[in-house]
Amino acid sequence: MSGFQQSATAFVAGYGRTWQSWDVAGFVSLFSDDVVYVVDPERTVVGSDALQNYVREEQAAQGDVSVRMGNPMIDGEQVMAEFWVKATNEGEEATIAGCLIARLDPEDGRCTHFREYWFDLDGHLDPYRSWGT
Amino acid sequence: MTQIEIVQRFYDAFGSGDLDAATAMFADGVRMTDPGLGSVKGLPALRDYLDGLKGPLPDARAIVERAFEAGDTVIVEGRFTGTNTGPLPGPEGDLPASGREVDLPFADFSRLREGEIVEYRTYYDQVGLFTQLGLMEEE
Repeated sequence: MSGFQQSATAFVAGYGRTWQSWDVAGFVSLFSDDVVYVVDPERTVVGSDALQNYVREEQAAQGDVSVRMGNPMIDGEQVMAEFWVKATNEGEEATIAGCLIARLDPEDGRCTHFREYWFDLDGHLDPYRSWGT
Repeated sequence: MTQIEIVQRFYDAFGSGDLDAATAMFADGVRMTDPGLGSVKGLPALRDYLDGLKGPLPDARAIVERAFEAGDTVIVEGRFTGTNTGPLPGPEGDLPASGREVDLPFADFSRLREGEIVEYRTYYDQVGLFTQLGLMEEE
């Protein structure tokens, strides 16, 4: 496994691990200080402080989460992966099915540009067959 | 033809309304997953899915903005655009065309084998779609 493949694999694993534990500092450390994090067409978060605030907002909205990450897929300096999240917030169950497309700095493995796409689904659903592979 | 070219040919055929050509890019046993609609298997189910997009949005097309290739999988970021000039199926019957335009970012994952797409998963902003079609209030 090349150095970049190791970085990409570590990024995807760390993304899932810090999301599940709501380790905000650990999550933010996966990204460059000036990261451009595109949540959706209406919202782009730029920089560590803004990303930290965004993650805290998501923690309040999602509550307890169980996060599964799909296999990292690598092309050049980009890594792609799907995620499947079961969230429980004040008794409300939801599933977040989505994917990320991240550009990593080949020097330090931190993410410099991030884009995510996702569905919010009601209830706790299991991934589809062959999801994430 | 490269894997990315095969996937691009699917989008091109879909955009031009040639759903026979679009469907021809997929294997007979293709599994297609749209988390908003579920997962289906086989070409007839895929064709139904594509027909379901083209019915309310006859000019629907997918504009590829970036394409990546990772092993046997092509990942595409793009925009799905269209105008609601056809009837829109609803839980209580068809809704009349609204004339509203849709412009949504999406990411697709297509796995290929022997020059055919065998798995296809799409992610897009479902709330944005419903809002742009006027089926949900803007937040």
